[in-house]
This record gives sequence, C-alpha cells and structure tokens, in this order.
Amino acid sequence: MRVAGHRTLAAPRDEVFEAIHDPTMLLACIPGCEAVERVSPTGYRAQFALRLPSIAGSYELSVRVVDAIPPASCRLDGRVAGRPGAVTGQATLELTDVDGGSLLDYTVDARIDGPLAWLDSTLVERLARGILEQGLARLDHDLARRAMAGDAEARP
Amino acid sequence: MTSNIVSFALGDRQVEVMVRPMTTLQIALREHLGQTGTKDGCRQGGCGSCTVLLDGEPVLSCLLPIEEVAGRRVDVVETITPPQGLHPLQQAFLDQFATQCGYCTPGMIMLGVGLLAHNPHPSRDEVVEALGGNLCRCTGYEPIVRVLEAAGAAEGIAVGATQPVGEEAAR
Amino acid sequence: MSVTEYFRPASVNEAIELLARHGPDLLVMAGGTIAMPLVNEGISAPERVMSLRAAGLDGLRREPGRIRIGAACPLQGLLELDDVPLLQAAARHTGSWAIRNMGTVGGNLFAPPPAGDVTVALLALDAVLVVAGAGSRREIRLDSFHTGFMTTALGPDELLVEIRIAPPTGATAFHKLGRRQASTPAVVTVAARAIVDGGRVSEARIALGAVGPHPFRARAAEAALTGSRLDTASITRTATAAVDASDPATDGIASEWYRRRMTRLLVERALTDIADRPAGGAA
Repeated sequence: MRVAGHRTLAAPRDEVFEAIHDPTMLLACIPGCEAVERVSPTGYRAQFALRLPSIAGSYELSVRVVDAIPPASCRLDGRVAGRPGAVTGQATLELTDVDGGSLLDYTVDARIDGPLAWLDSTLVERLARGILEQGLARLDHDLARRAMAGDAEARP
Repeated sequence: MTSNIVSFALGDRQVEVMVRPMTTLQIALREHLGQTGTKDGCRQGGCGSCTVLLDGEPVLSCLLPIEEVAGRRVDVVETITPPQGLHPLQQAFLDQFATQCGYCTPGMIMLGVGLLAHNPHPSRDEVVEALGGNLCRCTGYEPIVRVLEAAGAAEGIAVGATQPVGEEAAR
Repeated sequence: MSVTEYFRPASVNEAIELLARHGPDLLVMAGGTIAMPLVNEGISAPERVMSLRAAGLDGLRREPGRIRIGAACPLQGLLELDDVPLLQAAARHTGSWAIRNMGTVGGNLFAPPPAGDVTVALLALDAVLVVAGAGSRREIRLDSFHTGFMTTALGPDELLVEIRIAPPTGATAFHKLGRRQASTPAVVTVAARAIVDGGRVSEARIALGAVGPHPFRARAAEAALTGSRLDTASITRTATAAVDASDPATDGIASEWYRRRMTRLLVERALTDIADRPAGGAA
C-alpha cells in the first residue's frame, strides 16, 4: 500500500522538523493515539485506538527515526499492530520553505498483514490517508497555537 | 472470561445457552445446541445459508448476537420438521429436485416458510425477489423458484406456527 | 472473540449514559449488518459493544407534514411508505429481505462507500437528522452530515436518534447499478427529485452514491437543471455536471472509469423517467 500527500503548514520548516522529528508530538496528533513513550534515542511507542463507525480495535504503534537531515527530511520506520492485524512500513517526510510556512510532502509505503489484509485495499488507503490528514491538521493547529502562545509571552 | 446466559424458544422448546458475549446465533445453534441444519457459509451476510426465522421473520443468524433473541422465538429447519416424515416444503424440495448438495437448502426452506407465512400465494416475481439473498451453486435456482411458486398456487402449504402465541402474535 | 460486555440499553437516555461512561471505545451497533461482518472476519475487535435494538428507536411515525423514522427502524419498514416511492425503491435495492429485517435506516448513514443507498434517497428528500447528547438534542441536515471519508458531524458523546422527512413533492426516480440484483454494493446510485412547474424545473435534487467519499448532492447538476425545461439538452448538461461533481474510486466492485460512465447513464435515465411523468408518481 502506498499513501502519498502533502500539506502546507503555517510554521517555518525548522519548527515543523523539530515537531516531526520528535514523535512524541507527532504521534499525539494522530486521532486515537495515546500514551506516547520514548523507548530509545530514536524509538517511540504508543497505544492507538481505532475509532470509526463499525470498526473497533486497539493497536500498539511503534516508530523509529531511521534517517534525519534537518530541516529538510526524515524517514520513519513504523508498525501498528493489534488483533485485527498489522501495518508495517516506512514514511518519508520532506519539508520545503514556502510563502507563509512550509510544505510537508509525505510518502508512506506499508504492508498489511492479518485479517486487515482482507479489507478492500482502496478502503484501507483512504482510511490511512484520512488518519494522516487529520493528524497533520492537528499538527498545524498545535504549531499555530504554540506560536501564538510564544508571541503572547514575548510581549511585555 | 465473562459469559452471558440467554434463554429463548427454539421452535416449541425453551432452551438456554451460556456463551461469551456477542456470540452469534449461528454459532450458538451449531456449536452449543447441536442444531447443525443451519449452515455456516460466509459469515458476511452474503450467502443466506444461515437463514433462520426470528418470530417468523427471516434473519441471518451469522450476524445476529445471541443476546438479541432472548425471550423470542427462533425457528430453524430442525424445528419445522415434524417428528415423523417431512414438512411439506421439504418434501416438495425433494420431489422437485430443488436440492442437490443441500448446503443452501435449509436457508432456502426457512426463507420459503417465512415467505408463505407472509404471502400464501406469491407470484414468481415475489418468489424471486424474496430469494435474492440466498445463493445456490447447484440447481440454477429454477427448481427452487418453481417449488415455491407451486406451493403458492396450490391450496398452499401449511407452514405451521413460527410465531409465538399470545400478545406477541398480535404484533 | 474479544467482547467482554454487550450492552442493550432500554432507552435513549440509558444509551447516552453508556456512551458517556465508556467513551469512544464503545462500539455502537444497530442492525449489525455492517459491524458484524467486520467482527466475524476479525477486522474489528471491540471489547465493549452497545446494541441500540431495545432502545425504542425502531419506530416509524407519521405526523402532520412529516414522517419520523427511528434511527434503528429496520430498512424493511420503508417498504410500507407508499407515498415515498423513492424510499421504497431504495430499500428494495438494499440488501435482501433478511438483511432489511436486521439493517436499519440509521445504520445505512454510516455505511462505508460504496454502500449507503437509502442514504442517497434520503439526501434527495432533504432529510433532517435528530441527534441526542447528554441532556440535549439538535438537528442536522443530512446534506451537511457527512464530512469526509467515514467521518460525520456526530459528536463522540452523541447518538443518532431519528431521521425526518416531509412527504415529498415532485416526481422522483431511483436507479442503482450493482453487480447483481440483490445484496450488492453499488457501482453508482442515483436518486433524483424534480418539481416541474409550467414545463420548467422549479426545484431539483440529484443525489449520488458510490462515487465519492460519501453520498452527496450534486449541487452544480441541480443548478444546471433548475429553471430549464426537462429535455434532452438539459438532461445531458445535468448529467455532465453530475459526472464532474463526482470523485469515484476504483475498488473491488468497479473501476473509476466505469463509475464515471455509469453515473452519466443513470443520471440521464433518472431524469428521463421524471420527464416521462412530470406530474409525479412512482420512482
């Protein structure tokens, strides 16, 4: 399965890079993702509950930063696993400065194992895209809020 | 490990099962009550081989949590078979070669019993539409349709009680 | 199987309390025709499940000027609405008799694409949804309810309780193309309604299913038709606008290419049906 997309974030790419390179902040943006813990200098783990109409499931999410070229790109190895199956793959994130912020390009290549593999693959792709885009919207929102708080502090 | 106890009427007989929560009626029938007449085909609601009657209405037992039948009446191919011989619809299926491997047959028969109880004289179109959710790989459907059409055209086949008596029947 | 608790609340208030207590980890189920196949296949693994079948949501009531459909009303119940042939047609094309005895009108709104054919008809009927939360109720127009792929405007602590329609005006038509006659997901579904006044369309609704992330009204197509006569030229224009508005995906049922072609064909058929009986009548 391959899911690719992009989103313009209203923050400079240094800030965005810092956020995505620290999966604690990144994973917190994924809807249904809880309890992110750092297990090694580059490895993170979280619990993830899928909350869609008619489909339920608890999953463990583990992510490892494999490559990082600040502030331009980073690669993550990840695995989401639960009783319904597992999604194992790699995500490449690239950042470019644009007017008003930065453009984040993402590509996710993943393999699906277990009962989840029975689902129509186009359905899974659309679901994955939906979750990623919701996560990025939340990241955008969190970065904007942090910037506003920063501005507020800077004023005497 | 939690379990739920569910009591219901299986035909004229009161039964009780103790199963894990949300066990389907299909599994309860086949694995806990020894009623293997109801078949296990797809577990997706697509083949109809698990069709049973719930208070006289056709339902797919593979999609029905057992908790939903508490206090209600379930009819299956075993409960419509008389102690001796066969139900007239079963006999008609045999006589008209409307059954070959037999896998779809209990579902078809239960659907037929339900149809004739609702509509004693269905037209061919009504029979075809009623059977839309039940697959058969052997007969090509035509003998099955003819049996149900003939059942409607004759004096009708007495389908027997599939509704609970008393206030339930007034629904 | 992982289910540790199966709740069967006897009222809406009880259901809302359970939802508040157990939060988003509670799988809410009505007829089970969507949720149970996923559970049976192991794709969905809930721990706590709430059934809405005993919560008093299965009614179908007529009041002056409106029809109130309980969210857990079985689809089979729609077949008795002789004055809403669009819903009768949509119900007849949904599932099979046994599926309609179990599956509900409310559940149909949450069906993942390409399913949700009764939803398409409800869109053409300007349905309004009633949604209940702790101590409050609100109304949401169906045409604003779906916000994306498998996402809706329903809050995490809310339950859909009712679907309301007004007895429809105008002529209606329903067309669905599937892989077979019964129990098939759609290649494309079209529900159309038009009020023809003095030879011109004064109001139009064109709802499409299976050609986007969720069922939707093709508003540009509706605008293209409004004010026009219902003739070959306007029908062709409207069908083009409908195809342009759709965003079909390729899946196990049909390809994107085929869906686009069939959208055109079915919109044209639906509007031609209406043109042939502008005074109204059966879908």
